[in-house]
Amino acid sequence: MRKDSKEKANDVQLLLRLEVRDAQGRLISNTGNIKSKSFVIQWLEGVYSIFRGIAFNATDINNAETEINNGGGYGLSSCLWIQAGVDNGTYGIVIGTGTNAVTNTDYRLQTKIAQGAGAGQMSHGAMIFVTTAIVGANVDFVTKRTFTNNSGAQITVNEAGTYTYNAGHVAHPVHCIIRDKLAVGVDVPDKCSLTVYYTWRTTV
Amino acid sequence: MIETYHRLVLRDKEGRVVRDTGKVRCRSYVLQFLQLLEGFFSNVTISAKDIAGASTTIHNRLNQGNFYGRTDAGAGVDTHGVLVGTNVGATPESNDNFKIDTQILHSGIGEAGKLNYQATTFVAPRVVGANIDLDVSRAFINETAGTITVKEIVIYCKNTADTKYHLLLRDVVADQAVLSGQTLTVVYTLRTTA
Repeated sequence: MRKDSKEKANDVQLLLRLEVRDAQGRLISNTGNIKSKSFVIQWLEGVYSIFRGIAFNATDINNAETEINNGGGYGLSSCLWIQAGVDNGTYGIVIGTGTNAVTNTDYRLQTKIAQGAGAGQMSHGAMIFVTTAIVGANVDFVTKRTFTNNSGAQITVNEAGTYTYNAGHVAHPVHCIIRDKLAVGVDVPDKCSLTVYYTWRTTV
Repeated sequence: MIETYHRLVLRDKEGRVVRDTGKVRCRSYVLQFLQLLEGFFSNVTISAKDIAGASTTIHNRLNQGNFYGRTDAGAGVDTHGVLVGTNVGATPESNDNFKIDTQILHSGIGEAGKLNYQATTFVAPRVVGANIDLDVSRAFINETAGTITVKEIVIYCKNTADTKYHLLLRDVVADQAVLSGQTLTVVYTLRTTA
C-alpha cells in the first residue's frame, strides 16, 4: 500500500478577518486574513446532502438530529441559507465570547452573543456577499457581517462561526458549519462596530 | 480548510489490487464549485459556465434545492458524478476550467475506447481519526480488448431541473493504464480538520 501524499496543494481555504471601527468609521484594529481550521462535521454533511440531493440529518445547535437539508421539500430552495437580514441573530455569521478549543464535532458556538443592545449583546447587520469571482490567482467568495456594540460596555469577541438555516422544515433547524476560536480576543468598545469576513477561496 | 485527495485503485479481474496511488493531495476546485455554494448560502439564482461553455443555471432559488449540485449518477450514466478522460488536448488545470478535456464515455458492451461506468457512490461524512472525511467514488471497468489510459478525472454536477451540467473539480493525474479486464476506482476524499 502506498503512503498518502503530503505534497503541498491548494484546497478550499477559509480565511477569517475581523475589523473593528469606531462610531465615525475609523479603523481601530484589523486582524488581517487568518487561515481558519474551522469547518465542523455539519459542513461536509451539508455538502454530502447537496451532492446526493437527499434529506439528511445533522446535529443542530440544540444538540438534536434535524435536517440540515430537506431534500427538496417546501418547493423552493430552502436549505443551507446563511443570508440573514438585519437584527437576525439566528443564522449567518455569528460571534461569541467562548474560549473552548474547536473540535470536529462542535455543533454551536460556546457562548453566542445575542442580537440586541442589552448587556453583552450586539446589533447584527445583514449578511453581505461578494459574488464569486476569479481574483488574481484565486477564486474568492466573500461573506461578511457587521455587528454594532450598543451595550454600554466593551465586549471581547473570542469566537466566530457560521450557522445555516433550514427554512423548509417546520422547526426551522439551525446548524453550525464553521466555528473558529480566535487566538487573541478582539475587543469591541461600546458604540464601535465589528465586521467579520469569511472568504472562501479555491486555487488551482 | 477543506483538504481534498484523490486516490486511484486498479484491480484485476479477480479483484486483486494491482496498483494503489494512495491519497494524493489535489488541486481540483474550479470556479463553479464556489458559485454553487454561493447559490445555496445566499439563496439566489446563479448562472455559471456549463460544460458546453454556456452560462446556465447552477442554482435556482425558486426551485427545490435538490435539483442542483447532484453528483449521484447511477450505473451507466456518464453525464455527471465522477468521470474520467484522456486529456488529449493536454489541458492544464485552471480556475476557469469548465469541462473535462476528453471524456472516456460509457459502454456496457465493451465498445473500443470506452469504460463501463458503475454508480457514483458515497461514504457519508464521519470522524476518521483526527479528521472528518466525505468520500465520493466510482468504478470504471475496461471491458474492451485494449488498454485505456486515464489522464484526467473530474466531478460534474447536474442541474436536474434544466438538465445542465457543471464542472466542480478537475485533476490531471499521472497516466493510469487500465488493461483489458481491469477495474479502476477513483476516490475523492473531502476532509476537514478542526
